Amino acid sequence: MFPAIALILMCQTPTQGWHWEKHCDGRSCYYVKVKDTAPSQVMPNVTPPAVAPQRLPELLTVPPAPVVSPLPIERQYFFGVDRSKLPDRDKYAVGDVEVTRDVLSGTFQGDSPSLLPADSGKPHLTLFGRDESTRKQLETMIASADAAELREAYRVQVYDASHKVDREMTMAATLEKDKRFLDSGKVAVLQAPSATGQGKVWGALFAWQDAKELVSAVPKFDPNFKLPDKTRDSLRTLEASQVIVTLAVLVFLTCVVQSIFSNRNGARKS
Amino acid sequence: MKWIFPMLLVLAFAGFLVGQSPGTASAHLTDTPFARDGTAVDAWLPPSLHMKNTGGSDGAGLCVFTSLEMAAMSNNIRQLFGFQKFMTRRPGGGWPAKVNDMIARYCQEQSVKPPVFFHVEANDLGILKQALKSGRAVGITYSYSPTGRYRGQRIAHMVYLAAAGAGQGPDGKGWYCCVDNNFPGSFEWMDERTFLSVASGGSRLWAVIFANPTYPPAPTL
Repeated sequence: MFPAIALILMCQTPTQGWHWEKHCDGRSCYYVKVKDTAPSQVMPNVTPPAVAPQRLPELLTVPPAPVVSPLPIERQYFFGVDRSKLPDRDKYAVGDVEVTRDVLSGTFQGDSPSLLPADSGKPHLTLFGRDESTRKQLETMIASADAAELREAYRVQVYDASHKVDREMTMAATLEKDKRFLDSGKVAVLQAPSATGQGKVWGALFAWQDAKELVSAVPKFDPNFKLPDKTRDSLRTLEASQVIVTLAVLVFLTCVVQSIFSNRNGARKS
Repeated sequence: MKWIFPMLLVLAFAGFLVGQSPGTASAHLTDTPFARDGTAVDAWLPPSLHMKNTGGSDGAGLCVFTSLEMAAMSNNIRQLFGFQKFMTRRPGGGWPAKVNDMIARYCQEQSVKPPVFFHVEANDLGILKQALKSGRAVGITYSYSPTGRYRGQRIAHMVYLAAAGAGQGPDGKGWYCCVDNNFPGSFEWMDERTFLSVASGGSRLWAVIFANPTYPPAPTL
């Protein structure tokens, strides 16, 4: 098998300016396409030339890099990074917009929630749809204004339980065995934060009508969930009024019983 | 007859040597996402989803776009699923401006919003650690294999970074783990000093980081 593949590769006419080279690392051999250069430059078995090590910029968080002499680009095996087009100075960018190091570092610390929300400490709310169309529906629902509370409180992610990547990366494959998922075609799973909770599942919901229903149902799975203050106050008021009414009824009943007994005693005496 | 025992000893020792994964105290290979000391990767991508590097329309390598699709799979960036295949119809080779251009074109072709991503072109491991710790996947330049692949020669390559400063590492600064798209299915672990040398190639490293968070952890009850 392998000699046949090797033969096919060797017989291919390489693009002009390129040639195939056999490459072994002790475990396996393979062929790579290498840019044509002068014979002495193709196989850098030679010690890298004595180029003065480039002075590295001041690093903010790590010690200076070990001295590794930069090798001329044409002497490197080319697998796809064109180093000649990399900048000759430190550079940080968001897409094609250059930013400072502080801005980028701040982004990872939650300074720019629109670019990168600080969600690594949040519990996971993961939604699965049975197929791509259900996933898209769930994604639209979770992006709506009604679901803003969920997006704020949880790290929300939406997957397609039938997609190969999602099946490999998540619990999607096990959902096939759950009748509730098969019936509803969707599920919302609430899990503890990655850093502290080790994936502990707090609860799951298999049926809901809209974002509002999900917003009201999901937080109740959270072991740290507390009723909002307003609701709690109203409950407290309600409890107090109930106590007053109960006491009043008890006093009234006592008076009635007492009057009945006193009437009976009065009747016996007479 | 009296040679049998010494021969068996020699054979056993040879077997032991062969059975050891290649590497040194500062770098080694594993077939699982765990270092020799049991440290796990930060950004999990199962070996079944590791991709093999291929060439563009001119035969030049697509390691940059292969690494980025692996990062996309790791971080649920659905817009970039199939990115490598898209690039096989175009010339190979990658650099920051081309990555910006190709991501924009691929998303435009699918009529989807491009993902948010960052470029780091500096020997700044602090940013890489922040990215991995917050669950963001990274594609990173790679200039030689510390475990002896490529016969130790210098290469112009990009790989998927699965861990940055994870665990203790041999020097107390944690392990760094690369998944090489020329060797899918294996994990190459190294210490911080070695990693900086590997990624920078003696000048400065280039990393592409996606803003999407990674997948949720495996569920436990």
